[in-house]
Amino acid sequence: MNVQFKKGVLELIVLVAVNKKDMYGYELVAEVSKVVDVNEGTIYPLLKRLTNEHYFETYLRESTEGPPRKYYHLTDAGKIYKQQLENEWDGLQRSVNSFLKEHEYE
Amino acid sequence: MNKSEFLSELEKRIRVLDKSEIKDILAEYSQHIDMEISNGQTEDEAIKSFGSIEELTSEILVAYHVNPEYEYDAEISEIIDSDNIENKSKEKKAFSEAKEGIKEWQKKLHDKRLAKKAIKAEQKALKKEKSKDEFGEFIEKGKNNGKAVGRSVGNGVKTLTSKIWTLCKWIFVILCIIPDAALAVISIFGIGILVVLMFQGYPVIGVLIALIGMAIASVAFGGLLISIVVKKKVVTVESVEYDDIPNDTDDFTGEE
Repeated sequence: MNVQFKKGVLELIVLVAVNKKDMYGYELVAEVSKVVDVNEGTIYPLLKRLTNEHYFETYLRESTEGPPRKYYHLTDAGKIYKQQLENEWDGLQRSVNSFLKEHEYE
Repeated sequence: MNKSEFLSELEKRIRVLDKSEIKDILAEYSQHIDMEISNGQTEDEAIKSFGSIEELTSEILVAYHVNPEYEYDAEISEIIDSDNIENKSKEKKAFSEAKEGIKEWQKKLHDKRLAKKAIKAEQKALKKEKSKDEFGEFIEKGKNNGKAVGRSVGNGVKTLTSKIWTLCKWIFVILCIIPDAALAVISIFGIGILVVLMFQGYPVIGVLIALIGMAIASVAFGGLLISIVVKKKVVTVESVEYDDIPNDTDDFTGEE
């Protein structure tokens, strides 16, 4: 898949995934990998960035195996941003699809 | 690349970031690798799934709004100096050696300057130098030498002039005292003759008185000339005072 496509949509996927329930890094990576084939390493920087922009907040929770895990939680600002991205995506994919359809029948 | 290698490499490349952030990122990746291993992947596979480390680090840095290009330079320097510690210590050693060399060179320069100063001091017999080091002593010596030279030259000139002056005085006194003594002898002789003639009835009383006056005057003049010679003795006393100079230099060495 085109890397630029992935990059743009990755943010939305991560936001939506965390909106459902709080997740820790590896879990999130696994979840995102289900949707898009992505370099696993690149999701962590994305999580970092979204955290720095206050769309995520993090907390540590003990795990039964290994060290405590860092969980990501979507903030209210994150929810607004998620909604905004969803709308943008919706509008974009609709206009792109209609454009493609138009040209298909030409 | 194994896990620890990967993590140390990653740490190197993102060291521009805050320490707590670096720790956080490393913990995250470390945990991810551990999870992958527990899911049956090998360490190597887990790390390979991250893709190239250059891309990964540039992504991380972009997430922190750091220009990855900047970090690239840092990477290079980091790679160079982390190449091996031995090299580093060698460099350090070489550096410190070079530093010492420069220091020595500076010192030499400094010494040269001091030496120049010393020469100047000698030439001009300058004031006392404050520094107590070797060169200060050298300057001191030079100055003392200069002073001594100056003094001896001065003394030489002084004694020479005083000797010439004394000689002149002696010549003057001798030249004057001979006719003066002759005049005195003649006038006393004349007084004797005139006294005899006066008793024989000759009217020579006036000439006699004049001769007496002349005799007294010539004696007085002789006394004056002798007093010049006596005064010369006073001058020698003064020059004796100048001969006290050795005591003066003794005082100087005493000061040291």
